[in-house]
Amino acid sequence: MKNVLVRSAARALLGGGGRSYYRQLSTAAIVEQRHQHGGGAFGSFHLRRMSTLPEVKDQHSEEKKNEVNGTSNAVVTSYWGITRPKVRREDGTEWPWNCFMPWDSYHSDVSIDVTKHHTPKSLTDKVAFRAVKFLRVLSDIYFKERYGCHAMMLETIAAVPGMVGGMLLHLKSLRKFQHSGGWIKALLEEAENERMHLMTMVELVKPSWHERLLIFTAQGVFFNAFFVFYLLSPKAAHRFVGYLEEEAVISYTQHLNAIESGKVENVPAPAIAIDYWRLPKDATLKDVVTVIRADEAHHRDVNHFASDIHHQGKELKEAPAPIGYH
Amino acid sequence: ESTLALSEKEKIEKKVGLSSAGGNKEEKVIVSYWGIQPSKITKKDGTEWKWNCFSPWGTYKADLSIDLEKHMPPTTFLDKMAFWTVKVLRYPTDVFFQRRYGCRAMMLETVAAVPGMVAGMLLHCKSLRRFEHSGGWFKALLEEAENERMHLMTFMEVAKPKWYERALVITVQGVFFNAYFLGYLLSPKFAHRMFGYLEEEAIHSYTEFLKELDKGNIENVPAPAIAIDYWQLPPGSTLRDVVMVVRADEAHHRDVNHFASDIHYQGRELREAAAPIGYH
Repeated sequence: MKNVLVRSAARALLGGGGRSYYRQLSTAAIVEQRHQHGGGAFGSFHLRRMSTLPEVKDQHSEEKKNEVNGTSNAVVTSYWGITRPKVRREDGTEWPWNCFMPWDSYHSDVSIDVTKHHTPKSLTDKVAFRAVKFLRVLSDIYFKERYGCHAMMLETIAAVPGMVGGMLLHLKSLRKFQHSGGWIKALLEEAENERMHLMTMVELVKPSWHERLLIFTAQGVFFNAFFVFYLLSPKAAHRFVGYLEEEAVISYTQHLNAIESGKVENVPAPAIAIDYWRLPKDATLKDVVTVIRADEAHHRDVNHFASDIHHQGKELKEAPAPIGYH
Repeated sequence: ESTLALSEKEKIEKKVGLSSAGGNKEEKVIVSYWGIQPSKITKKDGTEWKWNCFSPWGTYKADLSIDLEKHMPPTTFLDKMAFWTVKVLRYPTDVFFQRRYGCRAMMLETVAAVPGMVAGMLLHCKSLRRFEHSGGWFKALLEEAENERMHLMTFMEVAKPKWYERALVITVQGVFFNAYFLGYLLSPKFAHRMFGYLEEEAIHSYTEFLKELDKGNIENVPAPAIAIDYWQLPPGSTLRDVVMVVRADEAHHRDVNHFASDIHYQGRELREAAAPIGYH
């Protein structure tokens, strides 16, 4: 019963009822503008709370807390001169997300060829391919036909390689006093994009405790394994991610088929997804899965491309990175 | 007002025409197979954009009016520890670099770009593990790391590193990365505070740098091209202008990190407060 209440409250919030929630809270911590930003794009400033589901649960108590802490918080904010700019959508409504900004959102290019496959040729390619296929068997056994859950778990893993790759390139660039050719940014963008997939999926599927535990372990193992893997051979590591994305595309295609055949309910798309991918207001789960699949196909291209550069005996920084390729 | 920024960005995006310029034949084959085209970007005045490492919409005008004197007096035990750690670290660098400020700035930036990256990565992993939003903090911290790296790319043009300096950077990075990683895991509060103090020291160093430039002990060479494009400086800018904007950047990072630490001190999590994205 409690769960149902929470969920409906969440839906009301995401569906636009949330705007009053923000207004109430933000008045507690309005601070004066002390700072002219570089872009000159900002008006009055608000300190705002996040719109995550857990916080909806105790909306009331949160509000009280905010009132109590509001004054001290405002002091801190004004002392360091840091405030969140008030951002608006193109249609003038307030931007509810802190985790991404309107200029991060994009129209996904769904026309991308989702069936493209890189045939493994060299030994490293084959090792990467087999490793991915092996992992695929394990995850298929575990998840079976629970596509939503499968997608969610995959995204928690898929957001790691971009981060690790970006970080290692960043450190290398610092150590060697070299330019990076924009690859750091491209890989971090990829990680961020995968994390946004996760944030979307979380709205649809609630993870249970044993899934959380599994993620915890899987991330610990995978992060370290991939870190070492990328240090040893960036070539194989990028190829591995490329194949992983190919599998992700296949999984999402199955997910789409299941939605079409009615096995999975075609629920309305979460608000975060509509804003992030600039989907129409009445978008459904099917649209979301389609754009996510297109994203994964783009990541596949980027990673195979990166591996190809390494296979030619060159370094990533010699080729301009595909920034904003989605 | 923010729609203004949006439309500006769209304009730039429109300028990004696709063309298969540069690269040899092999590269072109790959490019067409994976459908990844190197984009051709032009500046506002129509000349070609020559940097791969940042794009026109990554540039900004630094806010030089920021208060450089602001200091966070250490009150709690953790603050004091952070403060004195930084002071102790300051001593050997003073001894090592003496008055070679260009070189010193370069070496400092190789270290200063690490904390943002480490913190951003840990927040990213935490967000994934806990299925939580991040409040944009991890983007803000990565932006900070990227900004510090751009400082390095700039100073690299001015001061060429010697072999022993390169060796030193590798060692220091190895130690500092791991130390900061552990430090951040144990206490983000302490880590952010320490970095805040580090930035305060950086401001002090850059002020000294400026004094030396004014006295004429260091030659006021023309600004590197990368700096002019990155900070949108007027053509004909000199090293002095670059040091001014870099110092303003450091002051902004100081604010961000002290702010982050303050949030932790209030017993909250970073994601509860909106992150200062694009604060520079």
